[in-house]
Amino acid sequence: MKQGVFELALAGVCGVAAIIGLATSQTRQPYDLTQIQFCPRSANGIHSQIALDKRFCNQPRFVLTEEWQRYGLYGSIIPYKGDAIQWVRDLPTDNPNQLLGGAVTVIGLWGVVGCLLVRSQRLKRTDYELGELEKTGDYATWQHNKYKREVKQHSTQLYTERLKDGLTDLDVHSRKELGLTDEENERAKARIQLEDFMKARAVNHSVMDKTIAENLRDRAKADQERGKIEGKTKGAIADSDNQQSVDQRLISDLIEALKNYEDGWLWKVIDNQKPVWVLGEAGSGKSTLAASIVMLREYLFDMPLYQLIDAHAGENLRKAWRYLSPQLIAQTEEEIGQAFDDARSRWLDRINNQPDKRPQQLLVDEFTNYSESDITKEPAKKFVKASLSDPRKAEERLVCIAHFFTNTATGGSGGTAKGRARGTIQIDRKTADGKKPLPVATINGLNDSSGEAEVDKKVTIPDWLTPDKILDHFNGKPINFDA
Amino acid sequence: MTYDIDDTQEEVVSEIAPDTPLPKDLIEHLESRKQHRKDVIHTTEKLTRFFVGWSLNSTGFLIAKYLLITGGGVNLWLAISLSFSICSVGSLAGLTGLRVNYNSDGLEVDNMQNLIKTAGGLVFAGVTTWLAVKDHQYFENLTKETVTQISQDIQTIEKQNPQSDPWVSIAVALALFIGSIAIIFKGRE
Repeated sequence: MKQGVFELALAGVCGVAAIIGLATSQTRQPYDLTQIQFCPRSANGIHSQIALDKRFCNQPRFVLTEEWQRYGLYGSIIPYKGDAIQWVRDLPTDNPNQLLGGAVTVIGLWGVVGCLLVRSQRLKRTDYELGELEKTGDYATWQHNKYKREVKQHSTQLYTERLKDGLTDLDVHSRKELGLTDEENERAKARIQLEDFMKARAVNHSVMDKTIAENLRDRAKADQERGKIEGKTKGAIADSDNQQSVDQRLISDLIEALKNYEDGWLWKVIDNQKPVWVLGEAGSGKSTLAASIVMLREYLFDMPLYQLIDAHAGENLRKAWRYLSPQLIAQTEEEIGQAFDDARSRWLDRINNQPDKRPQQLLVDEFTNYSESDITKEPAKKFVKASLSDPRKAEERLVCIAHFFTNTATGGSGGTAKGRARGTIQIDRKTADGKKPLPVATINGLNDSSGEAEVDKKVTIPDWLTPDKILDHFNGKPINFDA
Repeated sequence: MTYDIDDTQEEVVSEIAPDTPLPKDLIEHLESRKQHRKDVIHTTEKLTRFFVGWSLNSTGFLIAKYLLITGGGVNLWLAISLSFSICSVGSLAGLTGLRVNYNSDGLEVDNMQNLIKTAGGLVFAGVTTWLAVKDHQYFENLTKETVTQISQDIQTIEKQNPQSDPWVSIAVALALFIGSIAIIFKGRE
C-alpha cells in the first residue's frame, strides 16, 4: 500500500515538473536576432547623402544573429556592401532558459512513464498474492458472519420454543379454568409424551448398538483374512507354538549333554570365542568334527555359516559339508585370496560400524595348502594374524582345518606361534590306518577352572558328534545320550 | 525408442490439489475483485502507453529545438530527421501484429487498425516536427525578407546613380584607335 502511494505521489511530482517545465519553455522569440541598417554613401554631396539616409538608412532591418555573424563570409545570404550594411544592436531571445524548461518537461514525462511502469509491473506481479489475501480475508469475514447468523438463528429458535411453551402453558391453564381438562389428564398426556421420547431414545440406542456389532463383525472378518494371508490359521499358530517348545527342549537336552560329557570340554569348545583349529592327518575325521561344531553353533546359538573357504568345496559339499548352508563359497585360489582379505575388512567393519550385529561363522578348510600358492599366501598370512584378535569382537566364530599346526600349515604365519597356541583352540584328531578316525583327540588352548592352560589334554570324541546325528536330533530322532 | 505412457498416471501427476470450497456469493465477490484488479492494471498500462507517446514526442521536440538554437540553420535537416524519427518510434512499434498476406482470394490484412493507428502516429510526429522547426523557419524567412529588401534597395540606387556610361568607354576606345591609325599613316608620309 505504501509503495503504491509512493509511486502515485512520485508520478504526480514528475507530472507537475513536466507542466512547470513546459510553461517555462514558452517564448515569443526563441532565436537571437540582430538589427542592422543599410546606409549607402553618396558621391554627390551632403544633400544627396541626407536624401539617401532618409530613404534607406533609417529603416529598421532584422536578421538572425547567426546570419549576421556570417556577413562577408562564405555562405552569407546578405549581399556584401562593406560598411554600407552596419550592426545596430542585438536582440537576444526573451527566454534564455527555454532549453532547460524543455529538458525538465522531457525528464518529468519520462519520470511519469517510469512510475507507471513500475506500478503496472508490481500490480501484475502481486495480482495472485492480492487475490489470495482477499480470498483468505473475505473467507474469514464470511465465516465470522455465518457464525453470527447461526447464533442468531439458534437464539430465535430458542425464543420461539420458549414462546411456544409459554403459550401452551397459558392455553392449558385457560382450558383448566374452562373445565375442558384437568391435572390428571395433563399428567397422562405428559406420561405418554415421556414414553414416546424414551421409545425414540431406545430406537436410537439400538441403531448405535447395531453399528457397533457390525463394526466388531467386520473387525473379526479382517483378523481372519489377515491370518489367512500370513499363512497362520489358529491351528497352525498352535502347532508352531508347540514346535517351538519341542525345539527348545531338544536344545536344552543337547546343551546338557555337551556340558556333562567328560569334564565339559566339548561345551567349552562350542561356547568359546577363540578360533578353533581342527588338526589331523587325512582320514582322522577333521571335517566331520568341524562340520559338527559349525552345526551345533547353528542350532544352539542361531549362528548361520556366512562363508565357506575350501579349495575342495565342490566335493566336500556333497560329503562332509552336505548339511551346511554357507551363504558364500570361495573355491578358486583367486576367490580364496579375496575371501581372506574380505574377512579382515569385514571384521573391522563389524567391529566399528555394526553395534547390533548378528553372530555368524566362518569355516576354512585345507589351510595347509594356502601358504604354498602365490595368490593365497599373503592373504592367508594376514588372515591368520588378524584371526587372533578380530573375530571375537566382530562376533564371528572361526573354524579352521589343517593337517598340522606348524607355521607353514597355518598359512605361513611366522612369528605368531605363541599367539596361536594361546589364542586358539587346537583339536588334534587321530587315526590308526588313515581311513577310520579314532575316537580320541588331544586338545590345547582350553583353560581349567583356575584359569591355567590345559596342555595336550586327552579327550574322547562321542559317537553322537556327527552331522547326521545332530541333524536327526532336531528332526524327529533325538539322540539318546545315555546309550 | 518408444515409451509406454500410462494416461491414468499422467492424470495423477497433473492433478491439482483441491482448494478450499467457498460459498457462491463469496466466489462472485472475489471474481469482481479480480476483474477490478485486472481493470486497474489495464488502465495503468494504457496510461503508460499514453505517457510514453508524449515523452517520445517531447524528446524529439527538445532535440530539434536544441539543435536549431545551438547550431542554427546548418542543423535544420538533422533536426527534422531526428525529431521525426524519435516521434514516430511509438507509432512504428504499434505495427506489431500487422500481417499482410496475398493469396488467391486477394489481399488479406490482419490487425488493419494498427496500420491506421500508425498512420495517425506518423502524422502526429510530422506535426510535432513542424512545431519544433516552425519558429526557426519564421525567423529565417524574416532574414530572407530583409535580405531581399536590401538587394532591391541596392538595385534602386544603382539605377538612379549609374557608376559609369558604356559609351564613354566606347568613345575612349575609338579615340585611341583613330589616334594610333593616324600616327601610323603620318609616319609613312
